[in-house]
Amino acid sequence: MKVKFAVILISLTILFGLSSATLAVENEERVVIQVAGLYCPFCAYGLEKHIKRIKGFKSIKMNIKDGTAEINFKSGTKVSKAAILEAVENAGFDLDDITWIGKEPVK
Amino acid sequence: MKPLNFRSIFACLLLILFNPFTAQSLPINSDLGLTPHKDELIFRIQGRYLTKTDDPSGQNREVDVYSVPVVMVYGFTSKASLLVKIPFLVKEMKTGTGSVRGDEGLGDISVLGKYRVHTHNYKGGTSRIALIAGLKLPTGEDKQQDAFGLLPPGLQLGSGSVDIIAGVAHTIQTLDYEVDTDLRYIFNNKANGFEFGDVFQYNLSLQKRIFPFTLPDKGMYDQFNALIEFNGFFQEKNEFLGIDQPSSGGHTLFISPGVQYVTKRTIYEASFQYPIVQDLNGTQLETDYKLALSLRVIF
Repeated sequence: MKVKFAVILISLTILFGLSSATLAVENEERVVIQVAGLYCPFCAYGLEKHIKRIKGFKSIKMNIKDGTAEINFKSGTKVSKAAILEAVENAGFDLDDITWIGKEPVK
Repeated sequence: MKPLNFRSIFACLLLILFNPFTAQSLPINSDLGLTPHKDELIFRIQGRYLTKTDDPSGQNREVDVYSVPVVMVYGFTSKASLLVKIPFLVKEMKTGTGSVRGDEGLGDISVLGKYRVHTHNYKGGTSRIALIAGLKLPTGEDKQQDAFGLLPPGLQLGSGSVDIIAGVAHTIQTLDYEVDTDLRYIFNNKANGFEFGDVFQYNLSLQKRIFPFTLPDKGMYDQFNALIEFNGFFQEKNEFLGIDQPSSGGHTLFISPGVQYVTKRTIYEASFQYPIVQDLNGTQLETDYKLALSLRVIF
């Protein structure tokens, strides 16, 4: 009986966890930016640091080779292009392009 | 000192410059046109060693200098930064008679401002020019005495004077290579009746990544770089009570191969500097070589 209860509990936990994760991904605000002037890991750290300061920041994936960064913000976050532009410029780079995946940016 | 085999040097240089691999890093003994990001603090600690043994005066003098410069650079904006360099020194001179003279402790602290005046960012690279200006402050002991009397100015830890530093630095950094050039002038002033000659420095640094051989398509990576630098140094003659000192001043040019390991927040680096030109006035000791180990961390 105890084993059966444990199995049900674990199954529910896994199911709940997976569905939460799926929901989080579906609701995430994702932005891909193309940054001019990005050239090495030591220099990219500054960009990562400034992006992390934007309210609602969740995660960032940098690609040095193509000069892009994929940024995920928490669900429901209102992220403006100005905030991203400021972060990029404070890091000493230029924002070449920005692609919003999900909701449109806050004007 | 044995003359360098220039064929080997140029072969190494060509190999580094034209190898098919891509690279970038930061210079070790030169300045650069890059500035820290806004609110970024870079901490750098170095261990440096210099030895001079070729004494043309016949007194068999030998000079060893160990230094640990601690450098902090802070970016107030993405264009303007302030650098403070705090050197700890051990200077030692041995003579043929067996006497040892020297001192150890805090040297002259330098405070330098840097402002980026030109930026051209493009995909996978940047070209930047920065102006540099600052002061070297008389924080090192400049009147140290030993059993033989007052130490000569070259063995004192400080100059005793406030000296003015001005320069310009340019960096081209791409995913394939990095080139840094800088020019610097130090206006030395008088203290205790003595004035070191003004200094003009010129540096060229070329850098290539040797690992990873090809850039990963995605993500960040650590990298191992090879560097070669040329570090030139002209100095006017020193003056004592308004009179030129004949055994002072001249021109030295070092070739400085080095290696670096670069991660997202740290750089570990080592450099060996060998003089390929030493055109010194009078009977000055010639530099045999210099060594540098360094660690940089971003906060």
